[in-house]
Amino acid sequence: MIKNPADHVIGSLREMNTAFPPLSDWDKSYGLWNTFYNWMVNTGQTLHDPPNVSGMPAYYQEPSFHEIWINSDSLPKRNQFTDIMINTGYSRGGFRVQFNCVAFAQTLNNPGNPNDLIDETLNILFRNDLSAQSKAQIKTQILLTGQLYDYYWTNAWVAYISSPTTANFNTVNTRLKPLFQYFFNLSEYQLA
Amino acid sequence: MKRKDFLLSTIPAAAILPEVINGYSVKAFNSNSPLVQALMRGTTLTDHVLVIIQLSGGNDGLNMVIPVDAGYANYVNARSNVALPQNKVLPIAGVTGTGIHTAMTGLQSLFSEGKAKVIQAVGYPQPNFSHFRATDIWMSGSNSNQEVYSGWAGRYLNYEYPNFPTGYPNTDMPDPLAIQIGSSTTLTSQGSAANMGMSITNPTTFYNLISGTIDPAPATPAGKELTYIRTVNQQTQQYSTVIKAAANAVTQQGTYPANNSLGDQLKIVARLVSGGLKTRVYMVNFGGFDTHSVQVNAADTTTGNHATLLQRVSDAIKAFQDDLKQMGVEDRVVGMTYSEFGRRIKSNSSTGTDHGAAAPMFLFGSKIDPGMLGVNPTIPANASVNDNIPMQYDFRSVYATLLEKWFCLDKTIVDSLFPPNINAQLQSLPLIKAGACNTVTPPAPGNDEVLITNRANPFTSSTTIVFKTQGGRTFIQVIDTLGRMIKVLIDIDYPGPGTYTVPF
Repeated sequence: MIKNPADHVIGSLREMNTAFPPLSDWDKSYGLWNTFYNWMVNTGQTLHDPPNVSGMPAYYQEPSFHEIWINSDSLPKRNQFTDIMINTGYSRGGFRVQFNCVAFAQTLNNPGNPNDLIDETLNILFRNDLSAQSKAQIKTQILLTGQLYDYYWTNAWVAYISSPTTANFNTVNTRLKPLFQYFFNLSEYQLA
Repeated sequence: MKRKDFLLSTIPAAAILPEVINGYSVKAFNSNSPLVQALMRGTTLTDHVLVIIQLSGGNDGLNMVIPVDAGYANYVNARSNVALPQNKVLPIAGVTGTGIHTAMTGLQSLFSEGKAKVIQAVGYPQPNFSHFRATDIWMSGSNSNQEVYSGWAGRYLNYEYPNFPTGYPNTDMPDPLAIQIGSSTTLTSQGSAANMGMSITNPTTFYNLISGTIDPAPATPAGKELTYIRTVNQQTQQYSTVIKAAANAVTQQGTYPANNSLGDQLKIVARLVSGGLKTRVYMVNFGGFDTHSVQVNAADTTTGNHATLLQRVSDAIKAFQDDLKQMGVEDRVVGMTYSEFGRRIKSNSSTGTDHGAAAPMFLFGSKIDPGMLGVNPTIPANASVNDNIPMQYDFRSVYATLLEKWFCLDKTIVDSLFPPNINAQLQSLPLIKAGACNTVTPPAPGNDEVLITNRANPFTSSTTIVFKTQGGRTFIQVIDTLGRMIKVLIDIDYPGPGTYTVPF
């Protein structure tokens, strides 16, 4: 199945353990929820307001069905959404909702090993695994920025964990951000 | 302009000045800044292209560019197990006392043709020996104790094409601003707000242009949907059409070395440049230079891993340059190689070398001021394991010179693209031949040649204007007798000379 816009927007927010303001802060909460609601509208799904009594065409319209969700307008917007969430996110009243790739990596079992990091991340984000060849290429080109040895990533990660300074944070963040951006932009991510 | 202002003012896309230039609103830079004032004059017109070759891993510069003068004895002394025999070092045209690695015959012939330059000992103060950090420093142009989140080329492109990606592609810039051959865009092309580059092995595009990795869709219902999404993805990449058109415009290319991934990448660059893309910056990457051990074959130090790498670099650049020449675009392209750092003067006991500091850079292209800049590095008689090659030129000066002399930016603009504590030290180096930035003067029209006429003259409601152009950017305005501009009729790039008509 292809993800519907709610799956894509809310799903990615949940997968990335994105923090929202406390529910009691209704101003910030509703404002931010509205932002994400609008992203679903922009990518083709207006929740609580189906176009007619039959509901969303993707659930009944032969022969395309769920393929209706993906078109030349909605797909670039889906990628734009995840790009924005990785790079800047949205801010209301000083509370910024953003994908934190470093914090996500910290929740994994063995983020210091680039192979395990990619495997575990894909396990969460993707329904179908990538080939070993693809994963090796992604690791070398993005996570290792062209370096040959896994321990350069391990060293950078360990340095950040033992001493979370801005400089050490940036070293790992500069590499994790494009990694996640790449994963979210892969066509595989659109599959539920 | 203060760097802090530059960074602060460009983070959100929220603050937009009301001024609109060429239809683009200008970001909220302080309007007194030289950046905005220069912007009011319009962006720089140039068709120049820069190709950046990143040699990942830390290239051993001392075995790439070798002192063969009185310093040779100290060179052998410091690294006897990896040193090249003096008689195997290739001499380079116009330079005495310095040679290049035995395997770099291709580059040697480019030196003979006057199309290559070596800059000795390029680095920065307080070098960092971490691959990651050093790469980030080279890409951002920061100091080693400073974090900058945008890349130097990205800041340049951001100056030339403000507000990207909003409003792009457009008629003035239909093509990607920067192209990275590889699977992800890097910090180099990171502008202050958006990444200015696009990557053409992006998972969703152009699989067939480069031998990128793409998993076949499985023969399952999920695989069917995957294929569907990929198809839409390819169709909707906003630049896919122009890139494919440029690639398809070139039907014949020169011969490139086989099994050479750098050659494969440069072949695509040559094709896109020649195919007419206006993209200004291309980035390619070639890795494997982290030669801690077995850098050379012990039996013959002119062979081994490092020799193979350098030969591929040299062969690929030579093939690229020849291809550009054959396709008639070599005057538009300048290339440079860099690595995040060089290696120590003293070799280690595993016939390798460890992370070091300054290293030579190569520049190539027909508009390069050829030869060598700088002198052989000073090698101590008894080099210790901690001895590094002292820096002679700051890498930011190389960037700044390319921006000024190749991309024809005003020096004040160049300075504003670097942090203020750096730009005071930026040198203008002799890298590019004089005149590269002179505007091309079109041939003067014959005295009796009429370039523009109109039929129905005088007219009341409409007339037809006939004009001749030599090709290139052609601009026609209608101005009334008070000197007020009524309408811009033509502002188009014509591919060649011809006679055209336009209604008014």
